[in-house]
Amino acid sequence: MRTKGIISIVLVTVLLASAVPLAVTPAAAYEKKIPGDANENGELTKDELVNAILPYMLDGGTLDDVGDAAYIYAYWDGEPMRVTDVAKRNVVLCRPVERVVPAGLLDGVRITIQLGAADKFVGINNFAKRYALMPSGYWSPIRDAASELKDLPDVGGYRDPNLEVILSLKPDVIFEYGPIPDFANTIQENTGIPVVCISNSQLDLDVYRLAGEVLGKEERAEELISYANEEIAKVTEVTSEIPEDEWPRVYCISGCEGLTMITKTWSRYDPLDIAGGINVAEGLPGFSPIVLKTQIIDWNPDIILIHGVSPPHAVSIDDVLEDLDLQTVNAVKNGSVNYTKGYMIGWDPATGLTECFYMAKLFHPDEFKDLDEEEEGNEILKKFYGVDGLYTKMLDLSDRYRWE
Amino acid sequence: MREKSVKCERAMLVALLAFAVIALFVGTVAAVTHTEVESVTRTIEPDVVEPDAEFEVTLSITYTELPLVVGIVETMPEGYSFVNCPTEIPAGQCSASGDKVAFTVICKEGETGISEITYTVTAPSTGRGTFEGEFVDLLVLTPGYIDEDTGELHLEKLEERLLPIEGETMNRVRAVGEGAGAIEEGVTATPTPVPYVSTVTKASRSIPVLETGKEVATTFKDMDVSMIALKPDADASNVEVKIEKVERTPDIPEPSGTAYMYLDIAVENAGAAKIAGKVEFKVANSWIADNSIDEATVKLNRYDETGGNWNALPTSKVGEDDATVLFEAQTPRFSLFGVTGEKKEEVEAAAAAAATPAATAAPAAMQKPTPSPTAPPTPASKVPGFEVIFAVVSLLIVYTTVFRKRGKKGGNVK
Repeated sequence: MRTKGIISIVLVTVLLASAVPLAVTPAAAYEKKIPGDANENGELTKDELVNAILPYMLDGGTLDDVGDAAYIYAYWDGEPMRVTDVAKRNVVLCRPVERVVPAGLLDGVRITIQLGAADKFVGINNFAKRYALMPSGYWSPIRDAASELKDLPDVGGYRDPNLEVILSLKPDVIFEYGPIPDFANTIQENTGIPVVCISNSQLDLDVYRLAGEVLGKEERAEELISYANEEIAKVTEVTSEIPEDEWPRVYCISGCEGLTMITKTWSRYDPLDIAGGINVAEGLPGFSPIVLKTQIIDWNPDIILIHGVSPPHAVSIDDVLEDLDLQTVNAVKNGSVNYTKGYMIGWDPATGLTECFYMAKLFHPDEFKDLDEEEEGNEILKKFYGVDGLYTKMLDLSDRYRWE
Repeated sequence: MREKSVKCERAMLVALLAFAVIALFVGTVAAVTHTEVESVTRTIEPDVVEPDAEFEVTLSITYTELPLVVGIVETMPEGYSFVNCPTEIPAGQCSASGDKVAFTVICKEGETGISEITYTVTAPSTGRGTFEGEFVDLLVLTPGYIDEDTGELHLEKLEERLLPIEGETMNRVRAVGEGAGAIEEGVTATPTPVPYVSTVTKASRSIPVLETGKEVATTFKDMDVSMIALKPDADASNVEVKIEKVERTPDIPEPSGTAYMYLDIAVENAGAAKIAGKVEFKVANSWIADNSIDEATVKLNRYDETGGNWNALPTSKVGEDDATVLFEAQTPRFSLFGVTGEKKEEVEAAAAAAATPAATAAPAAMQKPTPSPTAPPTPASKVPGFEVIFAVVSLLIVYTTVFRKRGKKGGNVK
């Protein structure tokens, strides 16, 4: 416990120290008042709106303030939007969101694209640019769904955003990665621009509501949530009828946080549970805990899943099958070792949904023998990304098991 | 019955196709622009009014769903004055300044929607005017652009966001002597001509959006052309209208009649759209008087470059003031135009010639050759008459001598 405390203090210190370069002169780019709110009481009345519109119509000028005031009156009841983000931060927006900078990893980028608001991006973080948009041998649905984003200005990394560039782009909101709220606060304090933490926590789909509200895409958010729940139900309707003692025991090998090791696992993996598997590591502390090999032997999983489908693999199927320590494990004895998509610089609920079907067919081949998981995968990804054949493309570019 | 059924099926098929096309179009537009307000259309009732009378202008707003926040600005024609705000919106949502009047229509979700506002205008004692207006849907969100020079953010270029109000644009005051009724009483004789000189000889206008089949008018001040209306057969955007008063070059023949002026009207950037339309132009009273021109013969002629000839266009008088008479002509295309009129004595002579037997010698005025670039002038001696009579008589002789011998069924002659 004492060691953990010291490590925590050191980590927080390092985090805050690394945030020092973020401190730039605050810009007055984002006024913390509603446009048109003449008496500045935080509420835009109809009279105030009329008094903004009529002079504009008669004498001209810029539409920015008038249009924003109209939107806030019509859609936000004349008051600022107040949201609580995934990091439980309260954020106030005084303007409708027309310009977005995704500063943190890929989750904010994915969700915005899936909500049909990619046209609001005015910059892009370098993780998204480098790993999801630039040409590469591995699969990225973002590359097919919104390739135009690669040409947007680079706003830096999720831990070292370029605030000068961000300010010059005049965004209405910045999305930051949920697990690093201190960075979000620092960016907000130094730019004056509201920062909303957006990140996915597997199949907790409420984040779509949050992003939908911020982006003015509430209907699309509800549509995707309903669709996802219906898809999940397609699987659980079958798996819930299978006695739990027939569910396979599954061990996942995690490649999260930069290093793939046989002994690194996931303590939670929603698709695995939905597909009717028992995660042997469930309940272990931490997101991607490291265990001893003896623990894996004790668990004796029926199936082992390795994070990542695209070659080269840090840990391959052969590495596991040939591991001398694991030769007594059922999965190794039976050759039940496979790859699974898993995380990719954050989590994608869309690919997570496809994994529910993949794993269900893998875990319960008889019950799901009629399932065309490739067709199902293509349908799901089309629903989220609007592009045909994405799942097939993923299979073509990967070493993942593929049914004939 | 079967024919009726087939017609019905065809009609349903056409309706379904039309619905599918509209649905596709609307869907595309909604997906791209999120526009709720599709159009604002003006109706002027009546379009011809008594001098100094009040009349109503109605603006119909077409939108799909609430909420609605739209800004509208109307520009009154010269001499016309704004009287009353629309009753459909609170008085505070209407404001006049100079020749402009602005309205805003605001309806939140759940409130009763407003799709029409009507305001009142007073007409001048004479003349005519063209109403112009624009609207902006204030609920459309766009990422906009940053001005590279100033670094300032703008939602959109103004000309792209402000859309023209469609529908009727013209109103005119009943002309002196026009129609029956009290309007003629107490009216003085034709006003004494005063010199008229146009101060502007060249102008251009940019029209952001032209929709298929919908007429859009643009006006010009202090020019011989006061209005041009464009009606495209296909959608077009950012169309440029360029108008210039020019001199006729030697390679172009003279049009028939006495020429008043030539106008080069070019419509550019229309893409594949063919643009028809109207031209409203002024002719100085002084020219009409000095040249003894019969007002009823004033025509706008379009020069057809392909054929190398002039085509007279349907032209009618639509108004007048102390210095000019206003005409309007319909044209199938825009190119080089010439305004012409015929001298009164020519017209009278022509009328007399038409009523005179062909054998009578034509008056001198009629002997003036009509220039034509495609055919040589017809000599005066070629006036038809004798030849026609000779031909008819010859035919009668042939008929009586040949066909009557064959009998009614035309059997062989033996």
